[in-house]
Amino acid sequence: MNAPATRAGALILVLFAVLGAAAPLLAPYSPDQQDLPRRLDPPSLRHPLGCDDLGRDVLSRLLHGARVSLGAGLVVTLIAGTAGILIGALAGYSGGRADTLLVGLMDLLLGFPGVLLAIAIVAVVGPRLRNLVVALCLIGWVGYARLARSLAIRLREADFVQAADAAGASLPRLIARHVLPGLLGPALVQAALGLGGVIVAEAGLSFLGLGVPPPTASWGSMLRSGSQNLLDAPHLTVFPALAIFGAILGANLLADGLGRRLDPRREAVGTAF
Amino acid sequence: MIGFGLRRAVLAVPLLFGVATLVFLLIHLIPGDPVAVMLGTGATSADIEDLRHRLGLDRPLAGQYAAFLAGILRGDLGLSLHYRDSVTDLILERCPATMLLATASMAVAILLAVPAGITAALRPGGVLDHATTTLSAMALSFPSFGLGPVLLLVFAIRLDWLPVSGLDEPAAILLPAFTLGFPVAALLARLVRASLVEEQGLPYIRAARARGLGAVAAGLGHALPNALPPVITVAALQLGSLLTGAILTETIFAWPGLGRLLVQAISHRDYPLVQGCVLFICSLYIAVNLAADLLHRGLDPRAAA
Repeated sequence: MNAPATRAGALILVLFAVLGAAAPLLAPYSPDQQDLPRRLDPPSLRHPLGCDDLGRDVLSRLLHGARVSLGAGLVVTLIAGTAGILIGALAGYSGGRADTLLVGLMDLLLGFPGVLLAIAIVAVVGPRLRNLVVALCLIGWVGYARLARSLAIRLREADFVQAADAAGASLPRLIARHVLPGLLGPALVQAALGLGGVIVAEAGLSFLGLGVPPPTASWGSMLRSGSQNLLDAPHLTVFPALAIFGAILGANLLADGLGRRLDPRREAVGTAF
Repeated sequence: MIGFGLRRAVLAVPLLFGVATLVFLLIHLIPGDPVAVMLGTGATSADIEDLRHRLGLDRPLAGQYAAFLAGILRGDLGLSLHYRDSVTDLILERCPATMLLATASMAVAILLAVPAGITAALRPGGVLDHATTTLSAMALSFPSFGLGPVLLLVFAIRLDWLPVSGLDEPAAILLPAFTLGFPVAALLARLVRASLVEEQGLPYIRAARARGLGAVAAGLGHALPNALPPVITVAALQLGSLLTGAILTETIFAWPGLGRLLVQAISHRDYPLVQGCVLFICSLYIAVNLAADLLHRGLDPRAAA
């Protein structure tokens, strides 16, 4: 992947974000407006992407679904990223008991298949977007913490950090002014990759019926209803699948490009669900 | 090697213990009365108390925890509320189908990845290299629940070449195995390419080429055997992710494995079965990762240093 691919990745994500944000203005119909005589209608001039099993406009639902999918992705990435980086940086820099405890917790959570943990949590606390976001944050922060911890341990030995420490800088100042800026680049790569992972996880859980409850539109729940009408209405499967593919491709291209800028030898990144 | 294996196995024990604790706590995360939630709205208070007693939820938390751990050690994961059968038996009955799917998916991934990676690496920067890199980036972006229904639509419904679902015909495994294995193939193809390109730049390959050996012969005969160990390690690690990926793939293709059992258990609010499935899949995941670690150590003597 090269710079144009990185820009393409960023552009795809921005485009989806703008479409999602402007969904109430752009969507030709309300996402929940039912038109039962038109149920499972194929794409037409009136409904460019067709209608679903309740006669709802697929294009409008896809646009509103972008709000849920990208919104959940951004919120989880922001919360899990911020928490993970702060915890990892503090533990890695300080060392001692806090670090030992963090390593034990990280080993436990990384030894556990994250998606399965999210499925298990949402299965017991109930399928709601809030629960899904909490479950994804609970498993998502670990990757950032591991990255931040290893970089903070390296930065702790750097001359400029040692000098600031010797000059009497407080721990919060050392972390905020000297350690965190050094983490920013790798954390951004991780965030781009994590965003794709969260979008996949949200859509995957919604596909299993463990995400956003009906009638709220989300790409995963649309795909779920599409797979139940595969024979009669293939457009219900194809369009949500393409939307999910586009958003994840955007995140992966961005992560790949950012990673290569930081480390030109970098090869394989990606997210498989 | 045996000592290392034993040490790693011992390190997996606290991990398994932690997983068992998290799985035990799951049932206590249910908002409200878990027993009332399991039984649904039609249950009488006598039904609720009866089930509470049968599940041991009327005992103090420490007692429940001790009984849960003791049950695991005996291989007793409790009774399924929906199937009215032993959770352990249900899991063992479905496990072979998941293992078969994961193995077939890995076979698909390796069969696609190795030739693609080699083709790309033999002429880095060439048309085939760009094509492989682009295709693999796209494959990594297509989740199984997007790819699976599209494959079903094309190959089972439109073209009618392959069965739609189930385990009745041998050909029925092709679509789920491809769906699950395709993203792994993309990851492995990138690794084969990267590992082979790196290996081809080393002095022993340059010396072989200087002696007149062709690019293909040097690449396949000399570089490839040395480029494959890291790929095999990652493939072994990916086997663990295939076990969790199978949850969605089995649901799409009605494949009678552990993943589908878990999803059915969730929809039936059969929490003892949910706990059993999660615990079993996690233990398999940990065991597979442990085996991958040992394989890595065996294949790459530098890892022992």
